[in-house]
Amino acid sequence: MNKNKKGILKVKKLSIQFGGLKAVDNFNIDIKEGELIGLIGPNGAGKTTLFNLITGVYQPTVGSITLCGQDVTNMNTHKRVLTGIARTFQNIRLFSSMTVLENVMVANNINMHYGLWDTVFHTKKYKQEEKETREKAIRILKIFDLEEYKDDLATSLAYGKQRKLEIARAMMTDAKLLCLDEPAAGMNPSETEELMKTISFIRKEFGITILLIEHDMKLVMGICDWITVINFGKTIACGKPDEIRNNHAVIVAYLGDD
Amino acid sequence: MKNKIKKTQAPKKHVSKKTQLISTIVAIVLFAVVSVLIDGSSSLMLPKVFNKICIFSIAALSLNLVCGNLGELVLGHGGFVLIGYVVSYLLTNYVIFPALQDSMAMSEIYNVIYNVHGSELHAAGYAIIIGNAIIAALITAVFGYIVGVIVLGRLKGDYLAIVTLGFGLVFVCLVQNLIPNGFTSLNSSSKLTGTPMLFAGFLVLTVFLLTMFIKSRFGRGIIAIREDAIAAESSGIPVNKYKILAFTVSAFFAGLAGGLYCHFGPQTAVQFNQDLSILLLLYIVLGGLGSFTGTLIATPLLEILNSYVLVVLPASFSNNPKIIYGILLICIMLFKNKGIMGTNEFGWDWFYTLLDKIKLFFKRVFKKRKSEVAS
Repeated sequence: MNKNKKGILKVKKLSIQFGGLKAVDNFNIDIKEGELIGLIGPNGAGKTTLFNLITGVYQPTVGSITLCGQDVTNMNTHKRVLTGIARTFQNIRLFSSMTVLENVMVANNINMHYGLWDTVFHTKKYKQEEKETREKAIRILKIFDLEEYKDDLATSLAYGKQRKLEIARAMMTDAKLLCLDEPAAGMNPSETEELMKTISFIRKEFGITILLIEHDMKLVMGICDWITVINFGKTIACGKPDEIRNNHAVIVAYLGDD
Repeated sequence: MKNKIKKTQAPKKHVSKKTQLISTIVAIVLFAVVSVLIDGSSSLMLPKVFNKICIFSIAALSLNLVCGNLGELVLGHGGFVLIGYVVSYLLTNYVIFPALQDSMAMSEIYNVIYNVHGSELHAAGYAIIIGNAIIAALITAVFGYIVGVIVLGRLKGDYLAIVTLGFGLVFVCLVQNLIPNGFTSLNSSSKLTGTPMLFAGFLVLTVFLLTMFIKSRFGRGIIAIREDAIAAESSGIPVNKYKILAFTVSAFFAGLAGGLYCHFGPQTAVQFNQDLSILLLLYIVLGGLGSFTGTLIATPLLEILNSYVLVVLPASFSNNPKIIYGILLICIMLFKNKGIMGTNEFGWDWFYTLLDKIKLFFKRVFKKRKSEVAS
């Protein structure tokens, strides 16, 4: 790990308790700018809960989260987006009755500042911000090869394209840290291949840091810089893909103890 | 088979900006001509029905913003209309008329407000009604904001619906007890009756403002919340703030409708109870939740049905229009459960595509007939 790089996400002693269950227990992670980190673990290990903690859907019981040098532990989700975090969801969550273009335009809300007054009188500010948003959205759709579908309904897209659109929407928020929650779930091998290319591409194009939850080991081992493995809410291993592959604790967690 | 379908379908049209502008102007002029004609018509019924359509359209549109676009069921919208009504009523009867009476005699007041014939409003009369309506709308918006802040952060879905029902009932009860004599005791507001032109103007303004609102970043955010609140929040939409905003804007226009209703004729507080709320809900469900165009189609349809068609039917029906409404609602749910328009909005692209479709349809019908005749 390069020590000169800026820290993006720092999670310290993070825990959350649902009743008697500790879903995440004393979790620590330190992500530097430009890294691609994989987060793996068996089903029910607490990966998605961790994502929900980082993005602010849940409030942690103990611990702190620092994003780009800013303490966000008690911040609302939509305010965290301002500090530079964006996410996609395990089961695709698009705005289904809106067009592809509108889906992406929605996510630029944090960069728009006109008020009701500007809306009613169509002031210069309104026109300019709307125009900028539209242009930016089309630019991003072009990057993801979705421009030709811009006037179609989001749900009319093929599954793989919907995934892409979700990532495009996340990118529209000018995020510095992108959290992808099982982006390859339900994809066939060729779609997964394409997704791997897309992820590598946006990493290069935007210089973005990516935190990735994934079950597809080929994908994770193929593109991640380093990997954290959790089970029952606890970190059991952390290291380079090759180290993880041969780690005894990980093999036990996935395949059981003999 | 596939080719056949493709041939008969009209292609989607994209109309140039110039045509759009001309069409819009033509439509507004047409609407103005209609309202002027109704204004001058000798029929007693027609202007009344027209005014009622305008007022109820405004109220239904405002409800559609929360129920259709934000996607939260509100069952006490009549309460907000009532607040607008009461504010307008109090202003007229306790502020404006007394102030005028101090400076001049009652007959003189009428001379200021009405022209010689006593049927048309003078500028002063218009100013009073417009001012009343706007103040009523603003005060109702404040109420909407307060209710929104109390409720929206904590509840959603069914629970929110029940709480809004409660608020609606509370408003009605409060007004009934605070103004025990009803609205007829000092009713100078009923003497200050608006004209079709005025109501039509307010309706056009409402449609214009709401369309602007829904097309802006706020509208996009509100629709995104309806589709998926969690995804909206993680895309940077302040969900709670936008919900309260939608609620406030909705209350504003409900108050506007109420304020205008005051200058339509005397009502009683009971008329604003859940019956009105459900009636408004019926209008927007019939037209299509989330479609302003649908509301603007359904409200006149039902009002005309109520005023002209039901009267012809036997008394058991005309006295209980709810029977017909209920049957209508069941039919709509069974056969076209998204309402007349679904979530589609009127647009000139859409309109011209529709025209093409109708043309194609008639062409096909005529062709069939020709071929039948030939064979």
